[in-house]
Amino acid sequence: MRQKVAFSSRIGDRWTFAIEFEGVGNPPKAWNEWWGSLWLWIDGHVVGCPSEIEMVMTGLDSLVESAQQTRADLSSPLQLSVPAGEALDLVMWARYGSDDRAPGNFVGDPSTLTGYEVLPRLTGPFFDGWEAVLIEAAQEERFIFRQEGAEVREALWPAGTFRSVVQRALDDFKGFAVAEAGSESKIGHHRAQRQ
Amino acid sequence: MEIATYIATHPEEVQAVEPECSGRGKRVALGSSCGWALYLGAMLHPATVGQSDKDERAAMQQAQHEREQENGGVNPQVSTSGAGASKGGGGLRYDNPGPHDRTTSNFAPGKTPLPSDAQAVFGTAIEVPGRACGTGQVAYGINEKGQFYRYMGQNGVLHYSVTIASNKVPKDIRKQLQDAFKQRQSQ
Repeated sequence: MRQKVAFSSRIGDRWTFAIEFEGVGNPPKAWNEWWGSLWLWIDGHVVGCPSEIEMVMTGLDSLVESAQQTRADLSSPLQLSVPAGEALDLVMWARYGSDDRAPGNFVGDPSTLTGYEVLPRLTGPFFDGWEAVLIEAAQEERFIFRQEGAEVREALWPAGTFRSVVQRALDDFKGFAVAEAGSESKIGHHRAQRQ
Repeated sequence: MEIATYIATHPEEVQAVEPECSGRGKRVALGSSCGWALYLGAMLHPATVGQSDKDERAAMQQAQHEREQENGGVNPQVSTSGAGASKGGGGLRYDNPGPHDRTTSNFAPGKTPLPSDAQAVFGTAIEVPGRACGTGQVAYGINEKGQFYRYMGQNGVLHYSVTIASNKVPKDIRKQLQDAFKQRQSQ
């Protein structure tokens, strides 16, 4: 499946956390309607479905929403020490579960858990089949994730890493998308960037 | 920026803008077309790359205008029978950009084939409310067999994304759709 790549970029360190995207095809009428691909790098592993094509901003919007959530509150129901699988199960139950009873020993308002969700949230086909949550603390943050049917994995980063990379990816995408949408003649000259 | 963009592209939906002075943005009450109070809080996009907000707004409005000009004043790719229309008119609209449609040149192999009732189901779909930011929208619908469809898009124009398992639909929306489905079945 050959795609005409108009631009691509990777933001962050793929051996820690990075976001990579491509804009494909012809320029859309508005910059935020570029189709393309979007995926993550966590500790050197690809997270997501890089072969999926969708409006890139639908995925980025959702990541930005996740980045805006405040999870470092001391009264937060999920602390940094909670077991990875338990944290993931709780958040997915709070958002998607059909059982009224929470997994594990959680007692409280399920809506306080949904803010931890990063994937799938509303990222669309880029991350269908993936689940991830982010738990922040003062000095570090914990990214817990799994692909459907696979084991839970996690990464520990300095606090603010996720938010910073997401914001930079959004700015970077916007820069490419606006420039390329406004200049059809540039399409075909693949522009790539690594930061 | 996103608040301005949303308001600019959905002027008919914005009834009142009431500052909350929380330092986290504004609460925007949407009209009957949405029926949801939408919190556009915590706008964290201070940097604009490439163009000013005004330019972006103008570009989006121009895109809409061009679509309409190309088809005698009617946007050729959208239907007003979408989720927004079902909630009172002037809301979200359905589009078939082609990646799921084998009959178009935009068809992307590997995509779920476009169901024949994708547009009809969109008419009763429910938009995910309370998006904190961005210009995108997501909605879910349920077809006559009880299968869930997901719709995604930007600037108020959504397309079919996938037929999705029920346990992948946010539970509050899933319940609303299932209740509506049962009601239709019982009629």
